[in-house]
Amino acid sequence: MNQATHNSTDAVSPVSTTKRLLVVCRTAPYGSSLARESLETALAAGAMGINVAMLFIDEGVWQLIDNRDAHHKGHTETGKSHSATISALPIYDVGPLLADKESLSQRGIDLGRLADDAEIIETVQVINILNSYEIVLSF
Amino acid sequence: MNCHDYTAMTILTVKELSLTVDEDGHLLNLSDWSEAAAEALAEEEGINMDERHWEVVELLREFHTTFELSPTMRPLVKYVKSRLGKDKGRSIYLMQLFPPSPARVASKIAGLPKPENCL
Repeated sequence: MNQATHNSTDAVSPVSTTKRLLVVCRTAPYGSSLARESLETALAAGAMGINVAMLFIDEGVWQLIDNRDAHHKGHTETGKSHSATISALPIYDVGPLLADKESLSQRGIDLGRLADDAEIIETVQVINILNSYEIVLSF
Repeated sequence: MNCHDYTAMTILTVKELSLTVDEDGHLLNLSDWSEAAAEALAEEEGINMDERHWEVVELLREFHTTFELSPTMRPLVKYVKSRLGKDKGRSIYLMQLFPPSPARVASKIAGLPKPENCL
């Protein structure tokens, strides 16, 4: 990994801070490491001062359900609660956290259970949002 | 740099305390933390704890309980600003209290793991 890092710094920096990054989350929070990886990516980008937003769509909308108060918190293999990390995103300057309306309604998700910072968007807006970010990473 | 390398660990013995720490001096067992442990860890960093240090250390522990993360510099400054006001929520203030790297040093004293995303 060090080797790769050194090589890339010699070339043009892959991510310029003027470019905006959209992290697209399409998988449920637990069951694979993809959801966790998407959060780690967003946190790292935010910590480095990159303008980063997230879009939760398809199964990814499950990630926004706030279960911090649940007796048995869901935990990833890293032992971390997904909701706890979601709630940390604003303080890492990650945002907005966009949630696709159709994905939510198809799954019958009660909007009252979503993380406070989630912003629901109309499905017709998705294509414009995807087009408006210079960098899109899909998880 | 590998952030998750547990190859080395040492036992830090101060007074009656025996603390297991990693190669960078962070506690390996979060439950080993106590105020006495904090003072011992601070001493390793050449820091004499006073109330200004304690309020930041307590905030860090609260941050970790809430978000299950050790903050890096930017979120730390933002969090301190939101809780202790903008006079204290500045990197220069935190730098004076916990030189040379406030997020790392203060996390260590608060008994938290090293900040992740240490790219």
